[in-house]
Amino acid sequence: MTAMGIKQSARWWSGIFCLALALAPTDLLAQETEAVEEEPVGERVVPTNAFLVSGYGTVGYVARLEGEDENAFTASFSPILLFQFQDRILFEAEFEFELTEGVTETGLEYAQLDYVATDNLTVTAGKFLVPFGVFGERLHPTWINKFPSSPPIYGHHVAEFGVEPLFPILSDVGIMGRVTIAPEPWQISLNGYVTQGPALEGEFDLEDEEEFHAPEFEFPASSADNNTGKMPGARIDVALPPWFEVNGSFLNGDYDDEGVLDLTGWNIAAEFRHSNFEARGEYLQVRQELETEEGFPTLRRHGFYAQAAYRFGPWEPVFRWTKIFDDKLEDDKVAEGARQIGIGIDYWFSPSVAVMAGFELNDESGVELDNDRFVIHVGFGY
Amino acid sequence: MKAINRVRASRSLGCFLAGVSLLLPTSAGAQDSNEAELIMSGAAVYGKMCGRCHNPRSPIERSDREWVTIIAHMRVRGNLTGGQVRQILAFLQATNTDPGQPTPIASSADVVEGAGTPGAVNGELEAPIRLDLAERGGQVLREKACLGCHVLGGEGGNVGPKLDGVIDRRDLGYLRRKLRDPTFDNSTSMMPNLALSQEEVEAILAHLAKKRE
Repeated sequence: MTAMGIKQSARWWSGIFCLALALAPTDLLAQETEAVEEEPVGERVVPTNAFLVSGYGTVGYVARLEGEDENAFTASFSPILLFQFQDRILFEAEFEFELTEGVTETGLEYAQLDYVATDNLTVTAGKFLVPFGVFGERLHPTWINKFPSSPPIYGHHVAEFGVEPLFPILSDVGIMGRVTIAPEPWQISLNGYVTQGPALEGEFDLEDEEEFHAPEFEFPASSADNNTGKMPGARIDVALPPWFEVNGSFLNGDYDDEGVLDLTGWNIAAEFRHSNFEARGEYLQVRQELETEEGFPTLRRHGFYAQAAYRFGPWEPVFRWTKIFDDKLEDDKVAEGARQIGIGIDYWFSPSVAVMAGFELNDESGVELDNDRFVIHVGFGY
Repeated sequence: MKAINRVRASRSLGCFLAGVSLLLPTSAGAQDSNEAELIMSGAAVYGKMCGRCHNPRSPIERSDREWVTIIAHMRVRGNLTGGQVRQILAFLQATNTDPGQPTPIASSADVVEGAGTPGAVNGELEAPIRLDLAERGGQVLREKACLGCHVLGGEGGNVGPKLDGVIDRRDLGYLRRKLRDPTFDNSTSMMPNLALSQEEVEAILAHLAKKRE
C-alpha cells in the first residue's frame, strides 16, 4: 500500500470512528450535560452575562551603546475586553497601542469566541493567539515576560535584533479545538487548529537579489487569505505542574500567492520550576520552500532561546540566551546566524507590577553597528 | 492537492478532538461534595496551574463575580479543565475577603495576654501562645484552605512552605505579621490575605505549637 493509500485509509477509519462516536454517545452526552448543569455552579459560578476589562502595559526606555539617535522612551497599553455570555461562551479581545518612532501603532492581537463544549473541550473561533511554542500564547504580556524585551526568535515587543525573527507568529484567523485532561498529577492538552496561514511580506524575486536573503513572510491575519491553502497546526502539552512541562508544536501552510511554496514550522519547548527557580527554553525550526530556476530548494532556519530566573524576595535576576543558527539552502550556508545574551533584573512591587531592566549583548554577523543596548520598563498587569 | 490534504487532515483532527473529549469521564471536580475539600484542592490547583506562567494574583484583586469571567479567560489560555475551574473559583471566592473590613468583634478568647494589635509594636507580637486554642486552630487551617498549599503532619499541598516546624524556624512576631499581612516580607507572595481575626491567628499558632509537641 502506498503512503497516500495509508493516509486515505487512516482518514476513512478515523471518519468511521468519529461517526460511531457521534451515533453512540447519547448517554455520554447526556451525562456530560447533566454534570455541567448539576455542578455547584448554581451557588458559586453564577452563569450570567458579564463584561470586564483587564490587560497590561509598560512605560520604559531603550538606550543603545552606539547610535544614540535611536535612544527612546517607550510606552504601550494593551487592554483586554472580556464578555461572558452565561457559563459556556466567552468573547475576548486584546488591543495593542504602542509608540513606535513617534507614531502610535495600533493592533488587534486577538478577537476570539470561546465555546466551552464540555469540561475537557473548548472550541475557539476568530483571531486567536496561535499555540505554536509557548511564548506567544502565554508569556508575551509584558508583566509576565521576565525580560524587558521579547526573544528575538519571535519578535514582538521591543525585540529589534537586526535580523528578521525566525518565526514572527503571534495570532492568526481560524478555528481551534482544545482538549485537556488532568489525570493527577499530570496535565495533558492537545490543541488543533486551522488558520489562514502565512503570506509573503512584500514583493520578492530571488533572481533579482544581489545577495541572498530569505523571503520574509508574515501572518497578516486579515479577513482575506492570499491563497487557497489553509494552515493546519497542533500543539501537545504534557505537564507535571508546577515543576515541569514540555510542549511540541507543528504547523504547515503555503506562503506565496499561488499556493505553491510550502512553509513548515516545528517547536519544542520545555520549562522547569522549583521553589524560586525557573528555567525555560524553546527551539524552533522553519523550513521554507523557495522557487529558483533549478526547482524548489528548501531554506532551513532554526534557533532557540533559553532563560533562567531566580527570585530573592522582591528581586529576580534573569538570564536569557538566544541563538539563531546560520541559514542553509539545502546544505549550503547562505546567511550568518546571530546571538544575543541578555542579563536583567526585575524588582516586583506586587505580583503584577515590576520594574524590569536588562542589558542585551547582540552579536550579529554582517551588521557594523554595535547594537548592544539597555532596556528598562515598568510592566504592569491589571 | 496539498491544500485539499490539509483540509482533510484538519477535519480528521477536529473529529479526533471531539471524539476524545466525548470519551473522557466527567471531571473529578464534579464529584466533589465536600466544600472544604473543594476549596483546599482549589488552592493547590491555583498555585500549581497559575504559577506556571505568572505570579498568582491575590484573591482580593477581583470581586467574586469578576473572578468567574477572569477564570473563564484563563481556562482557554491555560488549558484548564472544567473541574479545575470550579476548584479554583471555590478557592478564590472563599478567600476573597476584604482585609479592609473591620476585624470581627473580639471574643474573650481574642484577648491574648500581652498582645495588642498585631503589627503595631514588635514587642506585642511576641506574646505567648495560648495552647487552649489549638483545636480551633486545626479547624481554621481547614476552613481557610491553608492546607491546600501547605503540608502539616503529612496532610496538605506542596505549593507553599511546610508548616511542620515553622513555629521553630520563625519567631512569633514574624508569624503573626505573616498571617495578618502575607505580603509584608514578599511583594509577590501568592498567599492571600484572609482577613484572619486575632483569635484565628492565635488559634493557628497554637495548633502549630501543639503539633510540634
